[in-house]
Amino acid sequence: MDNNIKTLRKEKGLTQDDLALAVGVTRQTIISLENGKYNASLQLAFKISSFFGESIENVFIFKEEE
Amino acid sequence: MDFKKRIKIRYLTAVVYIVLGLALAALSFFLEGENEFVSPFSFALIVIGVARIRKLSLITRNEASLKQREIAEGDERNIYIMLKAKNAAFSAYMLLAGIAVIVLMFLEYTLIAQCIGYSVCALALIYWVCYWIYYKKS
Repeated sequence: MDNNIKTLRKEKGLTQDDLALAVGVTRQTIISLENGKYNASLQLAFKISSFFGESIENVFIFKEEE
Repeated sequence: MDFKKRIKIRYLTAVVYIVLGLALAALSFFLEGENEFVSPFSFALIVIGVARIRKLSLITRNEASLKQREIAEGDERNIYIMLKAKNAAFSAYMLLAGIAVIVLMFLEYTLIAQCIGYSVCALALIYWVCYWIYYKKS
């Protein structure tokens, strides 16, 4: 699953630490999410989306596995 | 459960380890004859208890480190990694124990092979019981 977390975070001028603290995860989790190495749970996806004030579809892009 | 409450419980557990270790050490002192197991075991319990208290005191030294620890323990990626590691460890144990049982049987260490075999069966049984409970719950 792709996501726009890095873009949205940079638009807001936040560090990975700031975002991690705001959504209650570690910085490593944010790094993994941004690099596409880890898929967020539904709960975390909603937390991140609401933090950015965006809909979940605007933050996370679902790609069907080939 | 509140994180601070969980820390308190961990402190208590560490104290119980130390008390248990001291009690066993006292017991081994008064035991006559062989006590090769009790004495090192009591020492290990005391060391674990002290180490846990030291670790907990480092976590609770200030609010920032406490908050950091709370986030780290509740972090979903950490939990995901932990569960994956447990899963891999379980599978590896089952495989290695299975191989060990066959090898030990060939070498005629029947009793050890039987013990390992029983542990594998017990683990498989616990797994199925847990699976059934979670299946019913969800």
